[in-house]
Amino acid sequence: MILLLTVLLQAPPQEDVDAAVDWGAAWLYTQADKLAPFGAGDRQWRYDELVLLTLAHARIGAETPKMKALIKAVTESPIERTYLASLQAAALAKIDRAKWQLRLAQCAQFLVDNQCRNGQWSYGLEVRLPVFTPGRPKPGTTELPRLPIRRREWGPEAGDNSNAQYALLGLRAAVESAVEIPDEVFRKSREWWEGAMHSDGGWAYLGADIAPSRGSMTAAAVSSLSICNHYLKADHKADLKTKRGLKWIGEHFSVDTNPGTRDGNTDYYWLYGLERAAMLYGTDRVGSHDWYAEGARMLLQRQQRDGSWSGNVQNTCFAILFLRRATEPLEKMTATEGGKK
Amino acid sequence: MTTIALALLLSQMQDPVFSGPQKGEKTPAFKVLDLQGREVDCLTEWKGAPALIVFIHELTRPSAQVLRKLDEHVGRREGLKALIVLLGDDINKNERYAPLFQSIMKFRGVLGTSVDGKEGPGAYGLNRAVQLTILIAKDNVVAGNWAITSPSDTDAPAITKAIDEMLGMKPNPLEDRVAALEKEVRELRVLVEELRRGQAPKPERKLPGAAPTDATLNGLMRRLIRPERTDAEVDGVLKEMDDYAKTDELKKQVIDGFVLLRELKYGTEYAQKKIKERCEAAGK
Repeated sequence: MILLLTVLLQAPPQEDVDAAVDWGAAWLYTQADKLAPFGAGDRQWRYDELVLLTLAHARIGAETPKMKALIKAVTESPIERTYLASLQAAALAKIDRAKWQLRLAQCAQFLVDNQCRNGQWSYGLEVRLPVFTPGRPKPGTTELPRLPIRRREWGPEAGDNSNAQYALLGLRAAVESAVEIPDEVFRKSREWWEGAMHSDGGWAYLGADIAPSRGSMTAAAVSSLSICNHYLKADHKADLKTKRGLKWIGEHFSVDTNPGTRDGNTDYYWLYGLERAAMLYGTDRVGSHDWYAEGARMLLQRQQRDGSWSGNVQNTCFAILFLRRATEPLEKMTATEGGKK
Repeated sequence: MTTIALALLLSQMQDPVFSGPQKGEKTPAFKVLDLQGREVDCLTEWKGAPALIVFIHELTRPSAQVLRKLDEHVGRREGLKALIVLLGDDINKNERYAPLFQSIMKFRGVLGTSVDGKEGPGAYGLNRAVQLTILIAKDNVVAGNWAITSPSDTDAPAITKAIDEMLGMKPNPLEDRVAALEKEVRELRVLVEELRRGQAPKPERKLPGAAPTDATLNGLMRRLIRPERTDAEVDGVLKEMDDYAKTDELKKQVIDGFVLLRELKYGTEYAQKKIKERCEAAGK
């Protein structure tokens, strides 16, 4: 009985996870040339960047026809939305950070100039982007040349915590690619996240106590605080508010639904948020939960025969990113040519 | 080159567009037909109360957006009156159209049809070349005038700011924030609806065939469908599958897997061609 329980609580075998990822990526690859923008006005949205990031993590080669087309579409489009700039930066850093360093610097410039005055990010407004020139590598090393970014302007007064967490994901990709971000950006962001914590130790979409805490937004706070503290050279594991956020997640833990919500619209978004929070903080357990084992088991059960998750591009991306543990832990990184760290 | 430079210079030298009484001038009383078809004289009735007066020369989507934002501001400012006037040569047509327009826009102010045709009240000197003439007035004296030929997102904020100045109000960042959040909520609703439509669980397709349950075969099949496979690699994986699947059960799993892959169209064009050939050879 105990043996059976132990087996049931373990993460699925790596072979099963790899199979799930491969079938999921095969499905996603067939969708890659059918992605159409949707939404309206400032909220127009497209999946190209998210699919590119996911396929890169699913180890689909950058030279395959649809990856080439996605890379072209993404890198030749204007940078005008926070989510898309961030996902683009993360994808390009994963694919080849040396080759795409100048584009990564443009994504970073967009994000820096769009940071809200209160430290958050909003959906973003197009800014005039400089053309960066390649720097000179440090003699005798394979390190990428440093590309410093300066803030030229500010975004609106306030934004939301979802855009804010993705912006930091993008900035992190840039920093790892030797793009230098002013400390002030991380400091302002950290101030925001610290001040936005609810009395119960969780976070919500906007930050005020009028809305209840949610799993996805609390995970956003944990990952964002970890990133900010790390780049501000503080011990991100010792930060009390980060620990309080993890405690909240542990107490409300579920891999079936986004804690604090009931509509089911953000369940996969939450899972990828959970993965980032746990990977960036650097923990196998959240509360008493083996977050990866529980999430991976659930995802393998929910996968459809065609490899997708509910036949939906976004859900399939988040599921694959979770299964691949796509987020690199925060550790000493050196941006080198051709290497990830 | 000279021609382009000259054209640019000329475009910059174009006269500003004027329409209606200018700042400091009087706003003479005039009548409009209200939604019930009655003649009303709002300016006389309002006795010099602060007012927003909009003449719609041409109704377009951008001009409607400006109107909507101004009307929202009217709703937030106690004591501010608003009169929106539809201009047009065919008074009867405009009179019929006004209730429909009101049902869409739901103006808080008075929506009226001009009884003076397309030119509007003679004393106002309106310019037919613009889409909107917008006046703000207090004590029946114009405090601001905008003759807008191509309405845009930037028009409404400038006008609402001038209204607040006319009302003697100090800028209120909290109110601006609330307005921004209201806008964001509206846009998010659209996005959530789109996402919900996309996220709604789709009934799983009934697919022929099945992925192999044998782990080795499943792994080989996954290698087969990778999009970066060269033709030679595809042939190599197929050979490995043949070498491995010696029992009837494994051979069946291979064919079932090919039937599934043929349906899903996974793999390179060459892999799909080979998969199709294998299915046909097995009579599937």
